[in-house]
Amino acid sequence: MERHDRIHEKCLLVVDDAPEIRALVRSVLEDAGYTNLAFAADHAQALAQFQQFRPDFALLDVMLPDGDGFTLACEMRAMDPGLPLMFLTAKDQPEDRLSGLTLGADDYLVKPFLPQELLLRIGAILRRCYPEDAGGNELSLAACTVDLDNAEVIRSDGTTAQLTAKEHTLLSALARNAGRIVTMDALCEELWGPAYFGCENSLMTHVRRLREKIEANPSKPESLVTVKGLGYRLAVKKRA
Amino acid sequence: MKRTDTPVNPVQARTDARERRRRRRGRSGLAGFIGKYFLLFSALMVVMVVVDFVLYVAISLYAMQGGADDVTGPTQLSTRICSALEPQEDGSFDLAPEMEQRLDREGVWGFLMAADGSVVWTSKGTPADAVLPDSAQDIALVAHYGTLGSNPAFVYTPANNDLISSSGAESLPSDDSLVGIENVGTDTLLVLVYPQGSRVIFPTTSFSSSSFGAIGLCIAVILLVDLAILFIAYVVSRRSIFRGIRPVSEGIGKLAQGEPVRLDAHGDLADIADDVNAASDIICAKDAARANWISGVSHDIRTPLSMVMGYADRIAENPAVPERSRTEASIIRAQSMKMRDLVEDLNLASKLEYDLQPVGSDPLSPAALVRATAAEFMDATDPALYSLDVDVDPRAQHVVFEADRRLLGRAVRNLLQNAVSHNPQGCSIVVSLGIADASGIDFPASPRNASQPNCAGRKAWQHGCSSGYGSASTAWYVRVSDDGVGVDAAELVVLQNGPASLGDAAQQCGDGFASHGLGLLLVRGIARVHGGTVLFASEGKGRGFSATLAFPLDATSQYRP
Repeated sequence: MERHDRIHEKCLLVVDDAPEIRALVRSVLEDAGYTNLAFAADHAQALAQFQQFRPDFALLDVMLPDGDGFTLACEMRAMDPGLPLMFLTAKDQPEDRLSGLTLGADDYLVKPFLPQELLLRIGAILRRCYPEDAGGNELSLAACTVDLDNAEVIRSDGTTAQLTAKEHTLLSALARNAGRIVTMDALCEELWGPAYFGCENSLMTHVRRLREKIEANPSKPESLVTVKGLGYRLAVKKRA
Repeated sequence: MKRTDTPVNPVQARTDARERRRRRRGRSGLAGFIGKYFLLFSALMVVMVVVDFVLYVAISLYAMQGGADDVTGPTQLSTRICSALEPQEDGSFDLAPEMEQRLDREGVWGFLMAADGSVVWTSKGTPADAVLPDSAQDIALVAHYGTLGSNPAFVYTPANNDLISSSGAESLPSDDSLVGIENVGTDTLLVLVYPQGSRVIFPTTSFSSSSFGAIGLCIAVILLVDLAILFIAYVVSRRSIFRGIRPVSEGIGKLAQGEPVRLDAHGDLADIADDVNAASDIICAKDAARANWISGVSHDIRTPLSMVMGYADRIAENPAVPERSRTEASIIRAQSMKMRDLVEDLNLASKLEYDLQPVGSDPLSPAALVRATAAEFMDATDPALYSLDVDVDPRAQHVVFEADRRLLGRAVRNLLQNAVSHNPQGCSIVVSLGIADASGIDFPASPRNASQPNCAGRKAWQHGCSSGYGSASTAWYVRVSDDGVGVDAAELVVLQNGPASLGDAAQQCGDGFASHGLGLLLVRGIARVHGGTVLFASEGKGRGFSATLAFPLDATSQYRP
């Protein structure tokens, strides 16, 4: 986790009225290598900090002593329309989640949360919103390295292969959830949209072709493994 | 916990209330209603006839006794006058002075007519302008109409000791018979004229013998018709009262089952309806307050729990910390995640119970939902202890079911969590999705099935309605089975008949939510809001356990090619 690319130099504004949550988030972010952090306890302070630091990312609580995070998000977006932001809140009702995401928030995490999850989500948003600062979008697999930006597979023997658009979408979806099971339904939806019914066989075809490009032995896959009855999991080498 | 001397089981109380309502409905058929009230009405009529008879006898007796003392009546007065008339030498009569005074006092005057039509005596009070009858026709008219001029008049003949006109209501006791004959003779007529307006006269009339015989029948028919009209009026009025009361009584019955009531407040029973509505509002407000309280607690616990989970996670993941401390920290993390799930379950169960949880209805693929839940579960579970296989029947692969994605996912997750919680030593879990014959399954009615009049609406899912949805011939199901510790037959029965609501759970097991807990209670609630049911099975202790969520396969769920 101790990577020091330019993503970790981005300015992150954290707004939460509970000092203990601010302390926890500070220690989690600092340990992860984020150096440019600003904190606010309420709505007014958040706006002042926003004017002063012009943050690249905002993590907002919804219930604040002098207002609510949804309004704050709108005000910040009015000043900086492209600002990536995420809610971290105790409000877990579907309608709260929906209002947060409708406002254009990039993510919505409900308390109590695991620090690892918070870090993964913030990292994903930052890499998506600031690709130029994220360093190469490279994926290290058992038998090859994949340059997702160029859809190019570089095998350990130096040969290369090009990914098709569908294979690229498939691999990106698996890479986003590296180490976790991605169900066949989620992959089909990624490839063919919500009306994906009956596409399971096509998915298997795409997976087979992708394996031929990324695996040393496609019939004994090491990176793109099948989880029987559920879907697939992509095993990624830990980033250096 | 304080208890009253006779604890009331709310489930039993609700069942009793339902039974009472059913019995009331059963009795209230029109025929039964009329039969019941015909008996009541007949009894009432018998009582009335008896009372009338007693009153008639009493009044008659009083009148007969009082009549003897009524010295102003024409018959009494006539006999006294006849007795007090002294025949004179010249054929005229003199009345004793005290009788004359008496006549004056009463304002009565009179005269005595001999057989030849001549007036042989006139009282002293006879008006100077009085025109006395002087022919048989005149006296016959006086006798018939009971009036002389415009004054009431009575014609008395001592021969048969009675007034000639039929209007003489009073007859004398027989021992006074033929009073005065020795004074005035049998061939005279005494006429008494009363002051105008002092007596009421009923002139006589007559009927033919044949029609007079029919009068009795006529009176009987008229009486019967009157009685029938009275009875109809009685039944209609009772029925209208009963109709007015019925919604109120049904409303109170619903209140007894904890359902909300909204009665139309109009008519005679508007006040009662208003009170019932108010009681229902209070119950709803209390339910909402309770649910909001739980919701508030679950909200407030999130920040402290974030601290516990967050720092435990950081310690557990920190390589600089000794291995033993990291293990302990991971236990704290796991337990605090359990607490989080528990609080969420409690909140959701209370909101479902009090109908404060919006239940979405989106078409979703159960197969995809089960896979997503299983994948999430596998990612978070130690693969060395638990293996999970997902088995989707090809026929169930493309079922589409309208449901709340989050709630249904929660139900499946809770079943998986249940298998883990009871098998800390590890086990193999199989999640299967399939289609089965549903003829043996009793689906509860759910709010989404509005065709059930007695079950539709809030809370119906909690109590179930065995006659409800059961007509679906096929069902789709998710079964979570494990090869772990299992339960014995007795425990299985307890599970299958487990509490339907938080309130019941608290009553049935005062020390928490028994061994299988809040998680399964929530699964039951979620199944029911979707019109489905939960079935548990176990071969016995140590031989595994399975829980099946079954939903009817009908209009809201269909195959998609």
